[in-house]
Amino acid sequence: MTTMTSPNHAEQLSAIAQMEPLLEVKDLKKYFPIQAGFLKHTVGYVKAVDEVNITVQAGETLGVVGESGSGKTTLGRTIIRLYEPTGGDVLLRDGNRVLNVFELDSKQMHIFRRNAQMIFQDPYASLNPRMNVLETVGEPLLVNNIAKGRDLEERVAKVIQQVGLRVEHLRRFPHSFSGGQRQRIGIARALVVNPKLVVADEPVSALDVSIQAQILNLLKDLQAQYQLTYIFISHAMSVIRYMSDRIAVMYAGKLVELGPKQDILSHPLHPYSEALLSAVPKTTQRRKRIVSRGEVPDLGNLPAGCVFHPRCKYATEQCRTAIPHLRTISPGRTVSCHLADTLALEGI
Amino acid sequence: MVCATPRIPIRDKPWLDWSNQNDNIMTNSNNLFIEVRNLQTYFYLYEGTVRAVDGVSYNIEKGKSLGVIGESGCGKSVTAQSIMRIVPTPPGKEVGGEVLLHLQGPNGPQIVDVLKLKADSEQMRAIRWKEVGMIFQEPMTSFSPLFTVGNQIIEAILLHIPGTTKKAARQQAIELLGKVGIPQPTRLVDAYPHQLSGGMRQRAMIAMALSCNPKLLIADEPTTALDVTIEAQILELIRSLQEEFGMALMYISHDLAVVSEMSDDIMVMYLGRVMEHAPMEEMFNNPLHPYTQALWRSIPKIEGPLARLQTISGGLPNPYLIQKGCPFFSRCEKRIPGLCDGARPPLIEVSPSHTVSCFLYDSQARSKVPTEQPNATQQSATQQSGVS
Repeated sequence: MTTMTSPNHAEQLSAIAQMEPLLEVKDLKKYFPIQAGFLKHTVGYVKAVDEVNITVQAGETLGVVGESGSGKTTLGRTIIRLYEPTGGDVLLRDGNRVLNVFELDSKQMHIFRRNAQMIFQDPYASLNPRMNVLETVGEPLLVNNIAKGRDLEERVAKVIQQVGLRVEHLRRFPHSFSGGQRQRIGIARALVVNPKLVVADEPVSALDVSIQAQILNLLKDLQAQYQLTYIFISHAMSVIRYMSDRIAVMYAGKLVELGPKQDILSHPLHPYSEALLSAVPKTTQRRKRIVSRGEVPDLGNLPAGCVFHPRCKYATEQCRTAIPHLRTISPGRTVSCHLADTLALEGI
Repeated sequence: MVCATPRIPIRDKPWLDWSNQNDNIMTNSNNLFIEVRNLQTYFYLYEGTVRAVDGVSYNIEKGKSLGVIGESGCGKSVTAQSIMRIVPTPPGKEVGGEVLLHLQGPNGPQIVDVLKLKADSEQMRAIRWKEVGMIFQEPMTSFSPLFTVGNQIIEAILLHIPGTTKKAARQQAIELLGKVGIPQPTRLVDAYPHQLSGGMRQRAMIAMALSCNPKLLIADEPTTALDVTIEAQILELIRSLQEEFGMALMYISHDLAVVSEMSDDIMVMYLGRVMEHAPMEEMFNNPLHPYTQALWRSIPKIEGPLARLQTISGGLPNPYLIQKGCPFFSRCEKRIPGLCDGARPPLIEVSPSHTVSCFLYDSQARSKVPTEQPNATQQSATQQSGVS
C-alpha cells in the first residue's frame, strides 16, 4: 500500500521494488503493417510500441503519459492481450506461478482475464447499448466461468454498489446513464472478476471536469480497498500526478523515461519530459515555456537516431545518428537519452 | 488598408508581459469594444426549451482578454455564437438582450446592436471576420474539405475587403499562413484541409480568422483537440498575435489552467448563467462563488501540495427544467434552503471588478431568511458528503 503524500514514500517504493514484480513487460513490440496497392502487400510498419521494458509492482500505480500517437494506448491493449504482439513477453505473477501472457491458449486465457482487466476511455462507445447493466457487468463472470445465475446477480449487485450505483440500476440500459455513471459501469465490469491488475486507458478524459474528480477518487478508493495495481494511461499530466506512484513517459512508440513520480516531475532526465512538463498550462504563474517545435513524427517513417531529435533543442550529432537505449541512471530511474548525464533539465 | 500592418516575425517576439500592458490601457468606457447585456439564447426543442444562455452580461475592452470557463452545456459556446449570429436557427434563437459592438464607422464611432441585425444581412456579414473573428474547436469540421485552405482564406479576404485583387488576396493568404507558423506557406496554401495535421489545421484556422484583421477574436476551445506540446505552441501563437494586432480576445475553454494563461478577466458560467466574474488572479486566489470554489478543489493540479480531490456531488440538473432559484442549488455545499431555491440570486458587486451571483454575499436577502445560517449550511454539507 502506498499513500501519495507520505514523506517516507521513497522508502515504501524501494521496499516495493524489492518484492517480486506483479507484471513484467520485456522488449514488447507491436507493429501495425502499412498495406498498399491492389494486393495489399506490406510496404512498411507503424511501430506503435517499440522495445518497451516495464515492471509493475503489486499495489502501485504506474502512470503512462504521452501525446496522441505515442503508443500509450497500444501498450495498454497489448499488455492485456487485446492486440497480439509483434515481439516480446509479458509475464504476470499469479500466486506462485508466472503466466507468460502471450503463450496462453484460450483455456488458460481465462486465468489471465481473471487477473487483468481494462477500463476504456469512451464510456459512450465501450458499453453495448443493447445490454443492461446486469448483462454488461455480469458478462466477464459468465465467459470466464466464474459465476452464473443467482450467484452472478449477487456479485454484480455488490460491485455495482461499490462503484456508487444502486441495485435498481441493474435492469437499466446504458442510454439512461450519464457519462460519469457509464464510466462507473465500465469500472464495475473490470472489477467484478476481482482482478489484480487493471489497465485504465484515459478513464476520465471524456468526462466533465466536475465528474472527473469523482471517478479519480473512486479509482483510488477501490485501489486501497482491493490492493489493485493500476496501469493508468493519460495524456493529462495533472491527472497522472494525482494518480501515479511512478511515471512512464512515452514518445513515438518508445519508452523515453521511467521513474518515481516526484523525481520525474521535479527533475526530468529526458528533454521530451521537460518539454511535456513545460507545455502543461499552469494556474499559479505565467512563465516562459519551452515550446518544442514541430510535431510527433510519422510512426511509419521515424527519424534516424533518437526519435525526439528533430524537436529537441539539446540535440547533438550523436542524437541524429545513434539510437539511444534505455539505461539506468540511478536506482529506479531509466531514461533513453544520450545526454542524460550532462543535461540539467527543469521540472515543475 | 487594415491588413497592411508591418509584419514582424513571430518567433522573435519577446515574452509578453501582461501586467505592463494593463497599465498602458486605461480602464474607461471609451475603450470598450463589446458590451453584452442580459443576453438570452434559447433552444426550442421537441423535448422542451433549453435556456442555453440565460441573462448573461459582460464587457470586453479593446486589447483585453476575457476567459470563459464552464462545463459542457453551460452555454459558453452559445454565448460566442450569439455574438457572431451563427446560432443554428431554428431551433436556437436569441430571444432577449443586447450585444453592442463599438465600431469605427465612416462617420466616426458608432454602436451597433448585433441582435437587431438580421443574421444573413449584409451588415452582419460586414461584422463577421472583419470586426469579430472566430476560431473553432475542431479545425477539421470548420474547414470545407472540398476547397484548399488558401482558397477559403482568399474567399474571406475578397468578401470582406472590397477592392482587393485575387492576386493580392493570395499573397496575403500566403503571408498570413507564414505568420501563424505554417512551414512552406507558398506550397501549403494549395493544400486541402485533410493534408494538414491537427495543429497545422488549427494554425490555418487562426490565419483565416485573422485574415481581415478583426478587433475581437473569439477562440472557442481552440486547443481541446490538440496535444499538450501543440497546445502550448498554439497558445503562444494566439497570445503573440493578440499583442501584435491589438485585438480583444474572448477565450472559451473548460480547462482552467489554459484560460488562466490566456485571460485578463475570467467569467465562470454554469447552466447558462454567469456565476462569477473577476480578474484572473483574483479569481484564482479569492474565488467567492461556491461553484467556483468547488470547481477549483475538484481539479487535479500540476503544482502545489497533493491533497485528495474534493468532488462536487451529483450531476448537472436537467436542462429542460427551468430553475426558479440558483442553478447550482442542488449541488451546493453552502446553500440556504428557502432562499437560494426560491429566487434567482442577483449579481453582487463585491469589488468594482469582482461580481458574484450568490445570496451568500447579499446580506440584505440573507437577513430576511428566518432559519439559522450556520446550522443550515452544516446540515447540507453533511448530507452532501454522504452522497457519493
